Amino acid sequence: MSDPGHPITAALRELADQAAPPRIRVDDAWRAGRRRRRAATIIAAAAVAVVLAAVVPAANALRGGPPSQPTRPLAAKMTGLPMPAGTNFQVLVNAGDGAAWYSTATRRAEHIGGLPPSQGGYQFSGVYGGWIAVSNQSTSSTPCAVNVCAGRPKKFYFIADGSLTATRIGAGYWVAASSRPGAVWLATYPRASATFTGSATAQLISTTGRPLGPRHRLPADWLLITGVGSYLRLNNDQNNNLSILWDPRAGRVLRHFDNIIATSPEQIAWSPGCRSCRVQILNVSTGTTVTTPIPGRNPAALGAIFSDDGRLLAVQQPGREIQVFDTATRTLTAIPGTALSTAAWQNFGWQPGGPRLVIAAGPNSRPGPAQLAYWQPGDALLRVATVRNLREITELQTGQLG
Amino acid sequence: MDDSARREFAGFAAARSGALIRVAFLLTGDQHAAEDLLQTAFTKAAARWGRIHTAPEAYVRQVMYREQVSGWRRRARHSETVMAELPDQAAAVSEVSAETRLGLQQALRALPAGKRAVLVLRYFEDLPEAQVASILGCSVGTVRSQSHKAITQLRAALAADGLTNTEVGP
Repeated sequence: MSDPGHPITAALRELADQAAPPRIRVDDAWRAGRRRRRAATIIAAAAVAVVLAAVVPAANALRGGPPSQPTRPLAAKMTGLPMPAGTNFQVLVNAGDGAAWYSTATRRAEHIGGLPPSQGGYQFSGVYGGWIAVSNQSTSSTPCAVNVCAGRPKKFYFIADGSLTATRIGAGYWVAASSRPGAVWLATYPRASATFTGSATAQLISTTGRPLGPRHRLPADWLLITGVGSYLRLNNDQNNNLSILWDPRAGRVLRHFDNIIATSPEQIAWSPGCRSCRVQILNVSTGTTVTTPIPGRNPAALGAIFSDDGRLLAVQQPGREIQVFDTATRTLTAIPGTALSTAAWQNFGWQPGGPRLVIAAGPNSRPGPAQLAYWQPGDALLRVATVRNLREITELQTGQLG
Repeated sequence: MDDSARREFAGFAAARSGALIRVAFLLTGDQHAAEDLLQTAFTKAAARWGRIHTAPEAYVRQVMYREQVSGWRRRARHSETVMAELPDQAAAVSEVSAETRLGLQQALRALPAGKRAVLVLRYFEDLPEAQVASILGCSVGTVRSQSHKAITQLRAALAADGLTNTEVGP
């Protein structure tokens, strides 16, 4: 037996004293345990069924009986209830050499002012409360080989959700979302010939281009992706699946992540990618982690997006229905009628400021007809409309849903 | 039937969480990871409650030790490393009596999960080698060798910090 005065025993006891009272969800444990027990029973029953499925057709074949039913193929179209007439969604689209809001109710595009003409159109990326727009037009005379140096700064603009006027954010290498409304992170380099890694700075600025904080030098080999809480998510230059949560004020790494699938203003959804892994959601402000029932075995294949308020996470595995995880109630809801075959394209996003998931889909092989659908918490079925207008289909396919 | 079992389970969890979290904390070195580990162990206990309800604590402890050691093996391939505590959390209060003891605590935290589990069972839970082997599902020889290697590693860590290591050892 060990001596209580032994230095290892004493050190272990002191370490153990540092443990805080646990926040254990006893009811969750009980329910999950019972589900596990039921699952074990079901697996055992399924194993018997598999054996029977293999044995019975063989026996039938010997006796000349009927063959077993084939597996039902995935649908090519979404199914649900008809969408009420006049339902309106705004889709941010390229229109000529500028940008426009396209209305699915009026089928008209309204031009957005404040953007200079861009021959190649604009590229959009979602941030909290709106969109970042940057010209697709390539900058001339790159000062070094592609992907080696930063290149000439690009001009970034902000389009608030539904706004008909864009504001100028500033010039830089990249603009990323921040958790603060009306603010974004702007990454810049000291000169166009600066190497990609090692000399970038990030600064919090308003969507009208006003600096809101000091410039922070980013660590070498890491690129700015987005702001989460008061920290930055940076991706490794060599391995895009590897991310860190970095504290710009202290200049230190808080945590490494293998595969991040989505971020919200305060949360990171990710999975280590192991065989039995589930998608986890870390709230960076509270430090709490929620393990979801969403399989995280193949995170690269998961499509996922948080609602604006971060409460809902819509996620889809290939060939499966879109599912919505509610971080408040910790429930996972599958949306019937959304599992499509690989013959169809499909994209989805949350309507700004509301808990409505908008889904567009159509056939890959030919131009139309396409479908536009929405779902919101509490709905048992999708609301689906068919879109036949070719221009509208193209805009749904390429535009930014919401 | 199920409701009375649930109440029995909840009573056990409420009564023993405080003691079990200390072990979980020693095994993981991190409050959140400790809570996750304990939650996992409770979930597994709930799944087998009908068979273990007469002596659930031994089962929960065994799950925690085995889960931590095998979980550590999984994480070694898919690293998600806690580099630092998120600063919004309150710092843990600790009474550190001596530099050596603090160094020893740091060295214990740095040990691999398997070796740390052996030391926790031997020196914190005060269990004989045979019982340690039974809980971890390995041989007594493995327990001895892991224990020896862990202590050697602790000594080396203390020496590297310029601290005394003469007191460390079985």
